[in-house]
Amino acid sequence: MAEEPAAPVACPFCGLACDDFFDLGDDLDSKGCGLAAEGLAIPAEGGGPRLAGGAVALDQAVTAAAKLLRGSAAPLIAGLGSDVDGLRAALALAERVGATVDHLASDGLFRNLSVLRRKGMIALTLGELRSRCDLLVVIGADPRPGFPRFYQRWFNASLPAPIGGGTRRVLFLGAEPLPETRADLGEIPIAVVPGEISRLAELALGLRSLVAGDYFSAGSIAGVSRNVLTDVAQRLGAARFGAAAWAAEAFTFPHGDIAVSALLDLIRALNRTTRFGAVPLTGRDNGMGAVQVATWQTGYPLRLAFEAGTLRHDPTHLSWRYRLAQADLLVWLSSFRREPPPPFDGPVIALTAPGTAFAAPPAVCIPVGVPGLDHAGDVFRSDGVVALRLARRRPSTLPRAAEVLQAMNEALAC
Amino acid sequence: MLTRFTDAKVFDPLHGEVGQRRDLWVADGRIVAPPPGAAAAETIDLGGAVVMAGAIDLHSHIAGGKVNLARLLFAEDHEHHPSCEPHGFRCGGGLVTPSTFTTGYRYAEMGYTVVVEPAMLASNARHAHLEMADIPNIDTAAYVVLGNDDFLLQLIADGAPQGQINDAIAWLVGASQAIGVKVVNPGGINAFKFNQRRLDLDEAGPYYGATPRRVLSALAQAVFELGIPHPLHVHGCNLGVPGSVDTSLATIAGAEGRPIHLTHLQFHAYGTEGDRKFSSGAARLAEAVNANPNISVDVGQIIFGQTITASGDTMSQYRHSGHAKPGKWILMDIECDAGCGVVPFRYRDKSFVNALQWAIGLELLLLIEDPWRVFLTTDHPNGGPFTCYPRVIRLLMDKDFRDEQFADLHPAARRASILPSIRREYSLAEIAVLTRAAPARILGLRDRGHLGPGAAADLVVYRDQSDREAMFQHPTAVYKDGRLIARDGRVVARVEGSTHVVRPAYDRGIEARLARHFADRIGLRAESFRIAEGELRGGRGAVIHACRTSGDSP
Ligand code: SF4
Ligand SMILES: [Zn+2]
Repeated sequence: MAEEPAAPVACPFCGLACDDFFDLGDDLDSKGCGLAAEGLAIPAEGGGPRLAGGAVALDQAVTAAAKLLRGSAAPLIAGLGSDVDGLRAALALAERVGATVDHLASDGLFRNLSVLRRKGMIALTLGELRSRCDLLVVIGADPRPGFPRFYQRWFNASLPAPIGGGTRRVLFLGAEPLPETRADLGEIPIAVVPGEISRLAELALGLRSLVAGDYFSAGSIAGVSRNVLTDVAQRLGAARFGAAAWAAEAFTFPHGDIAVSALLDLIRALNRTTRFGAVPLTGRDNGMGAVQVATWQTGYPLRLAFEAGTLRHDPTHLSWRYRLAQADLLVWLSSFRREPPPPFDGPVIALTAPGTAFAAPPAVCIPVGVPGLDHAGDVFRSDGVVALRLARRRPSTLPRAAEVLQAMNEALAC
Repeated sequence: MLTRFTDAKVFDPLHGEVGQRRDLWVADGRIVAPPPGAAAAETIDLGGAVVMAGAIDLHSHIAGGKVNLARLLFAEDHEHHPSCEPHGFRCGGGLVTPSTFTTGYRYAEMGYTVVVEPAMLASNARHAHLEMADIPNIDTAAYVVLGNDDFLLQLIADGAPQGQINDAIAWLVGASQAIGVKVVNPGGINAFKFNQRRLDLDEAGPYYGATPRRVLSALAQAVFELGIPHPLHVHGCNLGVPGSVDTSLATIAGAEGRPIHLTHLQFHAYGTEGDRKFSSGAARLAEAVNANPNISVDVGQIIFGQTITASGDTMSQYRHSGHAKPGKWILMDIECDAGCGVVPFRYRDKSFVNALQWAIGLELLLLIEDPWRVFLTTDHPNGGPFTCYPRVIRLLMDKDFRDEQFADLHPAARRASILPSIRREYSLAEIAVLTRAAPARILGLRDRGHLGPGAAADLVVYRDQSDREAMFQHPTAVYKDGRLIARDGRVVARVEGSTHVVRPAYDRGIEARLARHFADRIGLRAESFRIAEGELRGGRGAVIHACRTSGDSP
């Protein structure tokens, strides 16, 4: 149901889903957010569907796509940047054709998910961060580039005081904050503890030992001296309601998931005496939505395959990067950004935001609308708890990815 | 189209029918009076089979954030229980955390046609509704969880008049598209965010200073005054704690005649007697329930075996996290609103505590006399999966079977339970009350749970078998709104369900304060939070049920 919004609505261009963003009318401004500005620059016109570069009508493109899908023995549906309806349609199509399904940003998602599934998690949502947290620990590289308004909206000096009182403090562990971040934070006291972030697991476990009062003999860990570590552990323990934020997508060093696991151990130790939780920053291109929909429909969070009437999940061997080499057909879905498909040795069906530049013309190319600009839809925020309704903001004739995928599915039914 | 079902043995307690044989007429998805002179387009001979209205589950965690976290955490459940349906009904799987399609199919196959998600967080409501839209073959509804949110606690702390509390609750019920209101560990989840690990009924919570008793009474009064048909759904303080029976008794007394529904009472029915300081409080509680007609309860029967517990009660889930099996668990503080904790657990008949929990659930079901005020639940998945209901029905209807099962329990638990001395066996008519007529009544679903003209044609046909488990596990036919959806315990059609809601009226004066709260504390606009009618069930909207107006009696 395409309802025209009566009030400003959410921005779809990162996992923060800011809802103070769009003004009514055509005058879209981007509150100084570079990511949103990029998204807003996506044109409302896509030049229409194309087969190997030649313009065709939508139904012809759908028929051609269905033919490719029917002939494929090992299709891969990836990218998966879409709203909830688009994700539902992608999963339904995957089941029909026996495809593997994964999301563009799943490497970061799975660093957290693999720990969640092995050990669990202790987390809190952005609203709790904003209104209760007195100590924010930012782990690793400053996440601001991927979440431009993170501090502006969820943790800074101009927000009302935390519920129950207390003073906000922030500690950057492993890397310096960006200058823009210092500006966003305002008067909040900032501590910086640089260290070798690729050795984050050791750092977190050392802190855990200190917090728990376990035997600890190291002189320094990951470039952080024992004295500094002791001081950090003391600050963590003194927090009343602490939050540890990280963007696991940046944990590209070997075994980034082990670092997440160690962070969880640290957070668990802290909760013996105080309250502390993780704020995993993920969810670009509605990646959290993809995890949620896949999980509620199949029980598995992406990296799943429908094969001969069965459902299979494998967090390693069903990742889209891994499957690119085995697949014989790629369906690439990117409706929030002009992200071209990766190099692929076979035909590509591309459902992408209009104006996407391709290295080579895909076998089938269907420009689709941007959820939140060209049509309504639902997306999940980074914390996975809050889902927001996106609205249509401009006149557009672009089809919804959900419609196109459904049409392919129906074409395969007959 | 007019369909005639001939020779049905009808159990429709609302209309006093207990096995009368007659014909049933269905037109356009509704039961109709026998139309004089009209010829049916289709006639289905039931040959004297038992017919009841579709069963209704008023408390089962089937959708929303914590359910999906449970699926994520407990992938083993999906690996061990794959479920790819025939005829392109979509794959899924899971036993204790079934995926959405599987949930709809398994419920429908047992003759359930309406299920209420009992713990929808307001901040997670959009997610819950998106998920419910993907549950086929059954209707759904949800209680919104309130009473640990900083907004209501601040109102209470400010001594706001009851009318303002009512307005806020009505707004929240409407905005989250709920059918009722639940409170979970009143004030306790909020207190846990201030690092308090326990909160008793008359203990002032941190910061806001409100006692759980005060929160409970404010909410129960609001639900009553707003005319929401379902009384406040209460998950009390001290879940799982020995001695919780006293808290439950105090909660019943504290209701002072106001209607409240005590959920999964089994988990709040523990005394501190005996060597192990853990005993059954079922007899005392049943007596209190019997004496107080304003109280209704569901049981939360446990089922031996592996399950997972998913609850908003972070305080108690954290306390129990050490018992996680397998040893992994999730805890979340949520949006100045609520929380969630997910802990897998294995109930064992050879464990004293688990065995006694099993007995306590049955004691409650058998000692509470009025089947209109006690409901069969396993608090799915917290006590066990909903697919075990037929087993529990057999335990209620079959004393010999009950005795057999009892004999396998931990010996000390057997000595501590009065279960063998209870001779009661439920009749089919009582089962029809327990599983359909009564839940429909207490939810305010006037066109469900019975077979009178105007009712939805949710019909379940059973072969009358002495093995009641087999009988209720595999009905011979299940009709949803007049359409055959399952035959002999297997789903045969996929249909869309509906979502049921109430829309209590309120004074819009509250909106300014709510807007301020959202802007300051939540960092979202109240309007972003509100779920529009058109968002439900893929744009099909909701089925809206009336609230009582002041003239009606509850
Ligand atoms: S921070 Fe993210 S959600 Fe907010 S305006 Fe920028 S891109 Fe949009
Ligand atoms: Zn429950």
